[in-house]
Amino acid sequence: MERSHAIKSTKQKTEMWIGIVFLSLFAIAMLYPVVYITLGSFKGNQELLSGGARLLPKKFVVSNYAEAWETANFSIYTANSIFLGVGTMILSVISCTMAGYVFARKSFRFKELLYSTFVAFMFVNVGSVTLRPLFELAVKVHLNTSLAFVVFIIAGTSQATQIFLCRGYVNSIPKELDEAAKIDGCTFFQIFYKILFPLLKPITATVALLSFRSGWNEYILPLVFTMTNDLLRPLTVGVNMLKNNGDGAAAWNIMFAGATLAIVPMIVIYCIFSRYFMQGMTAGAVKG
Amino acid sequence: MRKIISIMMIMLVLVGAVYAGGSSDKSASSQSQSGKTVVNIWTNDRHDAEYLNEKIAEFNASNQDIEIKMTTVVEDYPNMLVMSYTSGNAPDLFYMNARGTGFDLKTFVDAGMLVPYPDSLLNDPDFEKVTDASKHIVEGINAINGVPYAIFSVLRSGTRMIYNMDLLEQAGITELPATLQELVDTAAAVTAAGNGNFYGIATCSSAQFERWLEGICNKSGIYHYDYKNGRFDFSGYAEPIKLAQKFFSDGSMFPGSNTQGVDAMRAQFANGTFAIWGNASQEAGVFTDQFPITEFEWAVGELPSMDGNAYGTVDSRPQKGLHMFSSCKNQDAAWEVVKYLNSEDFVKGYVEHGYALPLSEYMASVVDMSKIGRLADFASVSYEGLYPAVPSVSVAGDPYAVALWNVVVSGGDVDKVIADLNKSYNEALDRDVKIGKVKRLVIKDFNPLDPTAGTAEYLDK
Amino acid sequence: MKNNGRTIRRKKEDGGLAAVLMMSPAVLMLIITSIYPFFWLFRYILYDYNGFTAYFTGLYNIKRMFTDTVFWASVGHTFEYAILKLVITLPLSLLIAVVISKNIPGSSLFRGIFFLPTVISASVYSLIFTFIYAVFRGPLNTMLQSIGLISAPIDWLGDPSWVMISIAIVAVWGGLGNYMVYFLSGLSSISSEIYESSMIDGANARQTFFRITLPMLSPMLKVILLLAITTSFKDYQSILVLTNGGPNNRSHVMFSYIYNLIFSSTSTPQIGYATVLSIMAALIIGAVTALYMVLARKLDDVV
Repeated sequence: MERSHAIKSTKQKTEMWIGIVFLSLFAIAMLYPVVYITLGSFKGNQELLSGGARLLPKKFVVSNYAEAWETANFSIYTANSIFLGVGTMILSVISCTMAGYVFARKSFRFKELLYSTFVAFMFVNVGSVTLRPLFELAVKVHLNTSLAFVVFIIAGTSQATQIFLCRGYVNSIPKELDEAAKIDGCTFFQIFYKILFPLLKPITATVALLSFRSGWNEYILPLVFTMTNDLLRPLTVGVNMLKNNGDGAAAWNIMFAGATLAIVPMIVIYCIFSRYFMQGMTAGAVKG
Repeated sequence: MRKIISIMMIMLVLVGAVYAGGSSDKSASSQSQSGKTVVNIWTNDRHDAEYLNEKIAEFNASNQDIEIKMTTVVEDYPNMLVMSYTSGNAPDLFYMNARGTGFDLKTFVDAGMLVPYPDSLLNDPDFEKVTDASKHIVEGINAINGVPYAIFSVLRSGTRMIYNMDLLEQAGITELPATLQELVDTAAAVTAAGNGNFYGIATCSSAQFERWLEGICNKSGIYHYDYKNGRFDFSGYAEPIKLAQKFFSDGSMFPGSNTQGVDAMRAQFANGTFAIWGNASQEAGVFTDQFPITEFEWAVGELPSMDGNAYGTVDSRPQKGLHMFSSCKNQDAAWEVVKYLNSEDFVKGYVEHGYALPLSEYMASVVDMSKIGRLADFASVSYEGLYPAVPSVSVAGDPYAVALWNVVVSGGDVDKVIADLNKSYNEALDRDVKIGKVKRLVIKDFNPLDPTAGTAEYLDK
Repeated sequence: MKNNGRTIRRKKEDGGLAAVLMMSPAVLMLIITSIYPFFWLFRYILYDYNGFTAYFTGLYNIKRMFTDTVFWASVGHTFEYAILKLVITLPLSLLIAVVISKNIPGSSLFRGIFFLPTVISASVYSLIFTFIYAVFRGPLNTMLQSIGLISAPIDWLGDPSWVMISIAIVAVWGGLGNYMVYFLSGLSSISSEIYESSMIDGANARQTFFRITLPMLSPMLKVILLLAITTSFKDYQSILVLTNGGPNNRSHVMFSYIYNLIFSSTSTPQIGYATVLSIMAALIIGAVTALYMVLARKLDDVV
């Protein structure tokens, strides 16, 4: 890539500058709402709710953060959110890479049918109605007060896309590798975890990031499943609880502080995974 | 790869540790570690949480046998109650205010989910003194066939209009509007004086019709259910709705208020950008503590009506009614808790914190009114009370409040909307009565100025 | 492909059990979280169900669906929303991805900025936009007025002719980063030699884009389109926060309408009717996807 810098002409330089200006303009537009939340989280409630074009708080109210942290049981909620995020991530990574591998490398009866069923449920979505049967089911198996079942549901409802990506990625790995391993005496499963899984790094990162995000951001499921136990609530529910739903005005500034706090871990995860994420998306999708 | 795996492992361990800690606390059990009987209560209020937690801690410290545990559920409250009951995780008691949104007492009672209040409690003189229980039994609101399932302890007033007096003065208006026409004119006059800097009146993105217009209609003797004949009847709304369309066609409605949250509009009112705001007694706390108004004078006025007189009742909202689920295992202990949460000491403190108005005459006499500040401006007026609950039917199309407000905003054909509502609501009522989902409520001797006085009958056809 | 599979199977039959075991978590999740709830829906299509008791109403729900003008309008709005979102998001994110992939200074910073919105939950960022869209001295109106683009404030969420565009802008803001990342990874698979050779041939940026980038990207593009279509037809969370379907049902999409039937705060839940509408919605989205698949295959034949 260094080489291409060297051969850039004046015209290409102008193009580059046009590009930078274009990106900067958009970046400002994209950042504006984020800045609005962040600076808003330092405002007093009345100032925040009055809105207006002024971004900077008249006076920085740092206590919003302390209040959000304490009233919302933030340490517990954060731990629950991490449980949802990481739980969904681990379950999705294990289940989707294995399923993707089997779909790519094994032929069996009804394979096409099974695969189409997966793909079909990627599109057929019945939205919020499914909450009820899933909750009733959880009640029957006595899992309605735990977050484990929530993890299971989130991983289950978002798995189709990920299996789709994993299968594509496995397809992009030459079959000769499997054959060689087989000659060395590896079983079907050993080929997967000794030979292929290490090669699946980029797609694993992709699935990990996507599934962590869906676990982290899920709102309505944990809301229902944690209704009897305050200590199981994740941040999404907890942040919303900061609003006061009874009489009087809600504490939106506290909620904004909570929301800002809740964004930070996601950004950390993104920074860890983004490099692999790119590679995974490419190979998985192209060969899909 | 090794890096990713190790990160994942660390997280897994972290989460495992946290989760083990978190799940050890099971709230659904009816025995606490100390061997006390646990009474679980759900509430959807947060504004009074500080006081309740303090009083509950007091109770838990002094009572040897019972421990109260309160959980706040803020969203989809009635749905959550149903789901908790059907899943066997229901609390013993739950708070619900009169006419709580989405809650229909009759549905709960018909499904066998609630336990009626026992006579021992209702006949308790202290309980009666604090709550005036026998005087506040309203069909479908806290009682079915006269049997009470909840007793309220405090009151939120009916809707009032709140005025920015400085803005009214700038528009040359000295008297508060008594009729809807005057309200329309006042809003227009203030808007004209404001010249884009301030406006006449506002609404917000939720419960727009209910916020103040419905109260104005009700006070004028207009209601959507004809109790005498047991049918829905929206015809009376035509005149006030046509008049209210002027708020929008005159441009005296605060711009964009129809899509802004209630709190944003409260903040705007406190900023002095519009003159008239309608809401109930909770605004006393909002405008003295949360968004304190210091720059201008604000006044609380009674609702206008069509000609200035009251011909019907305006709904007030009694609050803090405890309901008991039939799944409650230790009912005696739970009734004990109900008694404590309706004790004189508890209610007095509650009112003096400025959360709500006293409900009974006795409580009104013992509460130190100097402590409740502007809440006193919202004290009960003669025509405020409660209507018996209208049958809750599955209507095809928009709920009436939404449909009526939409036509106020759009300036469309009011008569057509009302004809459609009459049709869809009565069709729904007929159908739901036929399939046995609801019963037709008829009160032959219904009096709109005293709606609870009549005898309620439930008909199967 | 098929032949290949068969030879493997003949050679190595012992992997069968392992394959079944490896497949089982995914299949189990599919059955429990997708198939079971879908068939559960059929249980109540003939009932008026409020969450406690189900009352048999025969074909009433189905008849009602065909005369429910709000629902069919919401179907229209779903298409309007999806098309608006796709038409703005996809070209824009592609353009941004192309510029970023040119290795300009600060590209990783830009990448981070554009991805940032996707980590914020829809309910939170939609709320921010209700402030930004405020009519009276709202940030957006103030800015547009000060640069002279508009003369009077616009009621972004209350004006029936603007509301869909306003909602789409929020959707674009929230989704742009996702598609940018998809496109970036697609672009990174195109080898730099191809670009260099085209540069030597004297092609300008536009020519390079249409003659090289776009065709090379087309397999990826198809997948991205598929993902984009399915997600934009399912979006409703941000609409609930921004307008809750208003004004006058102008911005209800299928799922926000259905959501309100189940979780409405002003009337009793109508779960039976909601299940009928859900099935219809599933059929409509299914049909759209099927249509897209057929078209995508046709395009393959042509190109």
